[in-house]
Amino acid sequence: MKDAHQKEMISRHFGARGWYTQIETPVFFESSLEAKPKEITDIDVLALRPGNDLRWELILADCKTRKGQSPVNRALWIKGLMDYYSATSGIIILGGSKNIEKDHKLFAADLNITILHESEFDNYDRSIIYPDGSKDYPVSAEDITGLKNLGERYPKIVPLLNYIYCIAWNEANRIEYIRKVIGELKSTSKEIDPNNNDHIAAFYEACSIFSIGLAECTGIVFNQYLKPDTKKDLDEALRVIIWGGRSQYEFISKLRRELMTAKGVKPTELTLPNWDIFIELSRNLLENPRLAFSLPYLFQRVSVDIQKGIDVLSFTGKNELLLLKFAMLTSQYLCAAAQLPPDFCTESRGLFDQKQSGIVHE
Amino acid sequence: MSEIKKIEPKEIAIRAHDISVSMENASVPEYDLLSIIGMAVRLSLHLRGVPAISYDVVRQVAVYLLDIPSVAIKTILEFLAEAEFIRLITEGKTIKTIIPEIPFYSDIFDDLGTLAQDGHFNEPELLTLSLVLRLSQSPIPQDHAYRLGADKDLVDKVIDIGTQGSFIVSTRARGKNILLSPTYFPENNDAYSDLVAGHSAGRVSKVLDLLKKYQGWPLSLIEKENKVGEEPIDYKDIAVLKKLAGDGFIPPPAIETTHSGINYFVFGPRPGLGRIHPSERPIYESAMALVAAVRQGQLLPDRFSIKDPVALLGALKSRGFIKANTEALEQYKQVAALRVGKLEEIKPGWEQLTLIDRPENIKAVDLAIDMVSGEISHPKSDDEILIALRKGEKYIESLVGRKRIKEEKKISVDEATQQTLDEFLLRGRAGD
Repeated sequence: MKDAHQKEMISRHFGARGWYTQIETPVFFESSLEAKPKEITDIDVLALRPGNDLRWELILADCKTRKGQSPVNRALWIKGLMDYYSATSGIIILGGSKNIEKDHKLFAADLNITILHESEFDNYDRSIIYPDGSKDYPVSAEDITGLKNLGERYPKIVPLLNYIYCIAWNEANRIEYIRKVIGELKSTSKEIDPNNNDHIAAFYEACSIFSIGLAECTGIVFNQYLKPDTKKDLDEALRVIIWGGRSQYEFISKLRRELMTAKGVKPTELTLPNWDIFIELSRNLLENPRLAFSLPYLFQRVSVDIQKGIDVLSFTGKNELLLLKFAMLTSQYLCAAAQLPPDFCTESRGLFDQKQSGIVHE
Repeated sequence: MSEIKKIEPKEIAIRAHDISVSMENASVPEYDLLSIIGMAVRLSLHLRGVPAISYDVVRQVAVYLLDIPSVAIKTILEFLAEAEFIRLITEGKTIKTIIPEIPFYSDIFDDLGTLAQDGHFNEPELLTLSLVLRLSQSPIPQDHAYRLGADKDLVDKVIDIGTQGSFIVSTRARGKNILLSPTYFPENNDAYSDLVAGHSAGRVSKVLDLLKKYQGWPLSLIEKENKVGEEPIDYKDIAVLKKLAGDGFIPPPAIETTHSGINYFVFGPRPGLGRIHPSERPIYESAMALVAAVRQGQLLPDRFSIKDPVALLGALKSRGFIKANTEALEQYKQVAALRVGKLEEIKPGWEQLTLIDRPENIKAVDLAIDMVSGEISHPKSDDEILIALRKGEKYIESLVGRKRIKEEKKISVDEATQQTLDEFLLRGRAGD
């Protein structure tokens, strides 16, 4: 891969800014006519960053080393993807000739796209992440790709990984992650080995994706209701948001009720598993909703650290205590909802317990 | 004593909390589980939503800011851990870190009260809980305390502890000793005592319960229909109501209208616990004026009645005004006089009440909503301590610094116990 060094530069830069990053994300057409949707293209590097109004902002990056690439053509190409994914901005790193036409740059800037020649990147990086830039940021593109390629060694967990790295990014709505990650994790739960660090790393990647949906949901609830006074209010708000609107919820709920009755099973309310715990988790996040948007990044760092076998979350300190508590509550919920082995849940809890206690006594 | 079986778990936790707050850091040898529960409720109210925190910091907050004796902290934390409200990270037997997981929506009082029921309360504790629960409803003559099923000496002992511990006030009216809870009846002690001494305590309790539910009901309507809200009352109850609207109590707001003359609106004890801060009194008076105004429109309208007073007050808060109508001028005159809102003529004869956007006015509207909807106040956390706990160790240190030296108060034992103690010290053994 000729553009690997460019992906490395931009993924480190995104990570150093505290953004959740993915590399080489395949693009499918959601409403494909094919039985199995085919990959149309891919996004070299993408990042999710928290917006100012408790919404996600998606950033797309395109890397090209070949000579003769028209900068403005690349800008128009990425602009198409930005529109399709409702991305906020784009960045293009080009190799080849250093002379990028000023008008191409201006045209791109007008579309919220930054065009940089790879030789300019260091300057850009050091200015944005002043003064050292992102070169010492400990997570490399290879680390992230390493997580993504776990399926090559563990085919039984491929469906989960496939959701995390492919399907999730082609969902029309990030709120879907909440339901679907629980579902994918639950169907893989029997394959997860609590003693296998790679499996543990995959679980925290699942936590990352789950928490992207959870943060979005938290932002919507907060913007609409602030902190609902009663459990009933939050319960109702969450059901409507998670199932994509009241009518959708009622429709699915009715369908499910009829199905259960037909099977001779006593119908139960349509909720996520361990619903009361999920409501409490959501209420906890509403105490500091902005922090919910840092969870995916934190979980990704846990995954990388575990897979590399290094001290987990060594970068956290007293300022991250509440974030660590949120991470602990989120991972515990997901463990319970997906019915992961009990010792897996205990281990995960122990990890966050020890981390928090260690920081408290620093 | 089987009285405790009749007390709901939630009530046990709330009363234990009230007692613990009133006693500050005083210790009572007779109270064991009761004190633990009271202090556990108090601590848990302040730990909700807080990140992981070291044992040392919790201890400082507990001792210096929440009046919890140092020796009790470990037991309280273990009790809260048993309730799964916190998790303790330990090294051997040493508690190092506390990770609070106090639920936001589960009822703290109910959960801790239920857990407390599994423990064993001693006789003085059982009697104290029963007595404080009774006093939360209305003041009572001291004689009534002897009817709770306990030995007279024990009742006297508990009253003595209560008065020394500041959770019972004993006053004298019309030749009777009257007991009163300063938590629930913090103002007008003498007037309440006189009311209870002159009428039956049961009647006063019934009337106060009705007024908590129907705050600001017009006295003239009560007299005319012989009922408060939907609940029938008799002429003796009305006599109590008139006393509550009379001398010694906060004067009831009055509204004069051309169609229904002067009407007085009667109120029960103020929602909320403890004595009102002088700076908060105008807020309470503004809230009473607002409640009286919406009750006038709801129950004594000229042509158009208010269907949902809570929704109307909610609209005043969220929208900032109540739509103009022809009755607003007379109805909201007092509200405007107290500078809660201003009346603006939209067209001749049609006035709109616009809320004057000040924090104290928003508080008054919130309080009025609570009063009209009959909300019952539960103990709350101290905002200053809560924020300090969330900000971290440095902030707690600065708060604690102001209260560093804490003197532990002891409630003296009663005469009989003192005699036994003296005898034991002199003779080296208990009395034969």
